[in-house]
Amino acid sequence: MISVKGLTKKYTVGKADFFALDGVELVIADGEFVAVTGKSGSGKSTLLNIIGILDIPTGGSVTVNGVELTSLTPKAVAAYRNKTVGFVFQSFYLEPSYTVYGNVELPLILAGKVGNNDEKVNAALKMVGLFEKSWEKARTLSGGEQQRVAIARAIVNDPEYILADEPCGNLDSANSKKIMDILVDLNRAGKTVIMVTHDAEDAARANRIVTMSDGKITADEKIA
Amino acid sequence: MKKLLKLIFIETSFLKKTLAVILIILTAFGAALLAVLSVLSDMPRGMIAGIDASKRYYFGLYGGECFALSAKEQTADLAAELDAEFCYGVADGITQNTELRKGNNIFLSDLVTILGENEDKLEYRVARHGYFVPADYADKLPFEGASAASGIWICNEIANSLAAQTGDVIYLGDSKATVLGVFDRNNVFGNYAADDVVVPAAWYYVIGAEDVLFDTLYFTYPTAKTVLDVYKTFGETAGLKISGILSEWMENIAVVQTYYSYLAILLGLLMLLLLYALFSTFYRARKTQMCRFKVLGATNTAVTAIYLTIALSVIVLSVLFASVLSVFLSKFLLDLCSRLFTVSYPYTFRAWLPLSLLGVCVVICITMFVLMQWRISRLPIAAEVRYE
Ligand SMILES: Nc1ncnc2c1ncn2[C@@H]1O[C@H](COP(=O)(O)OP(=O)(O)O)[C@@H](O)[C@H]1O
Ligand SMILES: [Mg+2]
Repeated sequence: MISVKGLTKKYTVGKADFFALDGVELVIADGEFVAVTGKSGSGKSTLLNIIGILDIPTGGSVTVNGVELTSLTPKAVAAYRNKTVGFVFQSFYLEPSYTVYGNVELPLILAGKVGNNDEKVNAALKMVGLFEKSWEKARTLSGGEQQRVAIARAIVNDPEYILADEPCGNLDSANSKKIMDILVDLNRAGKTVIMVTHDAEDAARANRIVTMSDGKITADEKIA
Repeated sequence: MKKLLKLIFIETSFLKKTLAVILIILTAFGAALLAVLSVLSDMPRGMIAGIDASKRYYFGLYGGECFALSAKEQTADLAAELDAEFCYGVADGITQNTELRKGNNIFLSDLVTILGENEDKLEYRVARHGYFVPADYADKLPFEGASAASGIWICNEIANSLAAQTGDVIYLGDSKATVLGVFDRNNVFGNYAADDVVVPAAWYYVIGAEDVLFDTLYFTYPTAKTVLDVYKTFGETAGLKISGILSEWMENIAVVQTYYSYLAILLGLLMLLLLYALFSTFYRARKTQMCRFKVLGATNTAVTAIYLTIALSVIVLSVLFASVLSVFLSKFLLDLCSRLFTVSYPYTFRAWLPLSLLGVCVVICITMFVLMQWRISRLPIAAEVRYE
């Protein structure tokens, strides 16, 4: 369970303070598929980054499974990013010179699993339908394929939470649909998914839509 | 470790190779220069002593290896100038080109064992192959003393090695000399300084003299800060006066030493700066990738380890390269220096070279590790993710 309380992120631009997040309150139960929507600049990415400890809040707290994120040691932060959450970015963020297999294996290696990782990597690649392309270089793949590699990489360590920041932002509708299908499947398989999007159609595939505006949550609705 | 190897194995790119080559070349060049200069800053410790008619002792310093050459000529000049009764020359490299022997078949053994001060066994390998030594001087040197061409005093180790006694004739190349006596190499000055010791007018031949004599003196007078101090203190303790001419001369050498130390320090700093610049470039080029690794759960140490191992391989290669380079460079530089400053360079530089290189490497590694840990822990991941 993720519990966000009074979360703020303040930037000081020149002399003026600017709140990218302004007292966000949010509780996400295990197994939910939450879509975070809102206009550009409303603070969606900032929220997601703080939940994934890619960014540090200036106020408030985020508690994941009972642990306050700011209390974690640097080592625990690394372990958290490695095992508890899996990140998917709009621009894929792959190692372009590595093979598909190499990209997916990376989190396992960083977790200290240096033996034969075929079983896990292949399972993740099959899940996203790219097992056949294991040995191709990441940069030679299409955008949709690259994003599927990124998803495989995000799930290879079997994290509880998938954090996806506009995963379809760079993709056409056919590819977007494939990505959304995968995310829905992952959610059905028990993963908690938090996805930032400003596409209403994609958001509709989640089971809860949180809308943000000016760093605040303005709407929070469950869909059947 | 395996994790690291696995990562490094998959982590190869053109950029890194290019950077590696630049780093290798620059580090190598710098390390070689530094090694040479650090050696030069540890200038010569050969020694010459003279005594004048009123039984005053004179001491001087010379570079180890070329010392013999200079010592012979300069000692002779000096001896003449000072009207000395004897000259004392010390050199390690005397037998480099020509073998010392007794008769036609007893040669100085390759390894001469010497009993040091605390009964430590010191082994001196007698170098037979000159490096920067003109081939002809060794033939004449110890056998044509300033005052006595007829005889030579040898230290007990040489006597043992050659099975030579007082009265025997020993040879160096084609020259020969009668052994006038055997002396205790650890206490050679003690012998002279003792009351009423009649100092024979002859050359003294000693093995490993440079180190032992100097170090013995040095440790005897631990408060002495410079080489000059050591000899001054010795002179005073022994109730001797140091000649003005020689003091001045020694001071000049001290000045040259200081000059080289500054140069070495400057070059060292310059090299670190250069490495820092290179490191920064490397860091900037790899920043996005470092962020990616961190997003995927790499610890700061893991990230540092990945890049540092790459850097280290580069450095190891650099050192190999530097070793080769410095041999050429040092010959060139040392020759140049000895011509420019009319000083000679020490025999010990070959021992110092790898040590200096090792030192350079250790400094580089530690600096890089600290720098990388510090910078990687402050990587602005969110900004990097946002703008990619
Ligand atoms: N490093 C920064 N300095 C100043 N302002 C920033 C910085 N990062 C983000 N912002 C601002 O914070 C606001 C929220 O950003 P973000 O969370 O990326 O919005 P969204 O993802 O909803 O488009 C934006 O107005 C953005 O300009
Ligand atoms: Mg965003």
